Amino acid sequence: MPNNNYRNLSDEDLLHRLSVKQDQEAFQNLYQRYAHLALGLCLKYLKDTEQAKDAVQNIFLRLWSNGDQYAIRKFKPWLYQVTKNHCLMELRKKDPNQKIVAEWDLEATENDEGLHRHLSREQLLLQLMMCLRQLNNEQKSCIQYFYLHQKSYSETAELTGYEARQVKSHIQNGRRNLKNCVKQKVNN
Amino acid sequence: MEANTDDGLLQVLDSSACLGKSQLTRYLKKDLYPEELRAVELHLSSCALCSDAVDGLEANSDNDALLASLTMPTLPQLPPKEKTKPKETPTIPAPTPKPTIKSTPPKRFNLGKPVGIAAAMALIIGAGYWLYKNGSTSNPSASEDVSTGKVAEGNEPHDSPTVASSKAMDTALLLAEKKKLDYTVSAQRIEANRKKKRDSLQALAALRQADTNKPVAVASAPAEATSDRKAVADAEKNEATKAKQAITDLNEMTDFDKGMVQYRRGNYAEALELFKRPEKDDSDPKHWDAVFYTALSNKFLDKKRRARKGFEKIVEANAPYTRAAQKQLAEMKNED
Repeated sequence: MPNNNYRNLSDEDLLHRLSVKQDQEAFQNLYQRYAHLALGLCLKYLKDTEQAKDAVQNIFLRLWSNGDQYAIRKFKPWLYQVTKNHCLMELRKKDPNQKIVAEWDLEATENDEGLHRHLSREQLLLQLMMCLRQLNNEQKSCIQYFYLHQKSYSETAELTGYEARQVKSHIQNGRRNLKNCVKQKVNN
Repeated sequence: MEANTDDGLLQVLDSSACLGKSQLTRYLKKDLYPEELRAVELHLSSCALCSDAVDGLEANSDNDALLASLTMPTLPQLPPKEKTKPKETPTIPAPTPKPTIKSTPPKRFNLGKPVGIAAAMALIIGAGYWLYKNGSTSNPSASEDVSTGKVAEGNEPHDSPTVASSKAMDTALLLAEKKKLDYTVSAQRIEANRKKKRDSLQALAALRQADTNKPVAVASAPAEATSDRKAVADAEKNEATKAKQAITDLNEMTDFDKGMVQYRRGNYAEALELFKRPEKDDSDPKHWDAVFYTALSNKFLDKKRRARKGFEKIVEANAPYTRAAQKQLAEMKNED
């Protein structure tokens, strides 16, 4: 199959091809999709470009050699967690005394397709508006500016007076809390 | 505007594909069109991998060179695959375990086929016998045979036209009845859905009223408290009508909105022109927004005195954006 058609395959289809058929083109496509993101993630923890590049190479080589041994259901959250764990292990090697806890990050694992199936548009809106009221002030204001008023991160920072990093964090946390709140109401 | 805020709020639940290399580097260089920037930031708000990657690369000075130096590793030759059990690693549990890997199901002895064939044969035989019986009662020759207790050998039972037509009529009647029933059930379902939608819209309108702090005739209750809905139905209907009217009015872009479009494009002089009217009009709902963005536009045009004046006006009035205005004033003071 020519390379162009691989671009239309899902991550999981590519993963299947590389694990079961040792398909190098499938591997190449996955690498092109995610290596730069894995590099950025490694840089965030390791803060060294050469170490980060080595980490990315190791992770992807491990995927090539042992991909069939991992029961990977969704590739992106798996990659995120494995990359983080690898970085944290490297940090622990550098400084064994430093206590580093590898957090199991649920943000990367969320699957929200169910919500649209269970609720109509109006019901979803209603639940979101009610859950929005339950957020703390920082998250609520950032969510309102970013989503309801369609402001950018920098505009939201200007309007709220928060730092850009704080805005990003408030939006991410607020969004996660909103979704969990709606899911809870759906399940109840 | 309400239609836009609804769509905006629903974006909380959206997800999109991860950032490509080019998009990522352009975002880091702040080299994206406003629409692209919006799409990227929406994705970053929902994707931990991309968001952390941006955090990591932000601190780096030359991302183009760094990403260009990242090359695919040389893949070692692997031995042929042996059938091994998958290792139980602590994988991330997916909420709906739908297998994406296609596999052929194991062959099992299927009882269905022979049982199905036997059932079909029994049905055919039974139907044939029934037809024969019915045919023999209406067919004069058959009835004679019945009365003599004999059935001529070799006579095969067959449908007379009257029997066939009465059967067809029965079937048609049955079908019509079924259709009627289906129609009733689906009509009931449609009505129930309509009622649900109506209730949600009314509750939404009530919630919006409560959020804007306008006086409401009766206390607005969340949709969950449905017991009081009859009592507040009239008031909520009025509010919903007002809200719909507001949507119609706001569908046309205001000067402030147009000004924001120019502001986002960096056309500060054009933005200032468009902000003038809402900035001068105290009763305009976007008055303070216009004052704030006028001050910002003046700042970016290096008209610092005017910018300072605008921010000070906001702080003195303790208006919305006071905190942001104070921050701007502090920054401008540091720069002087």
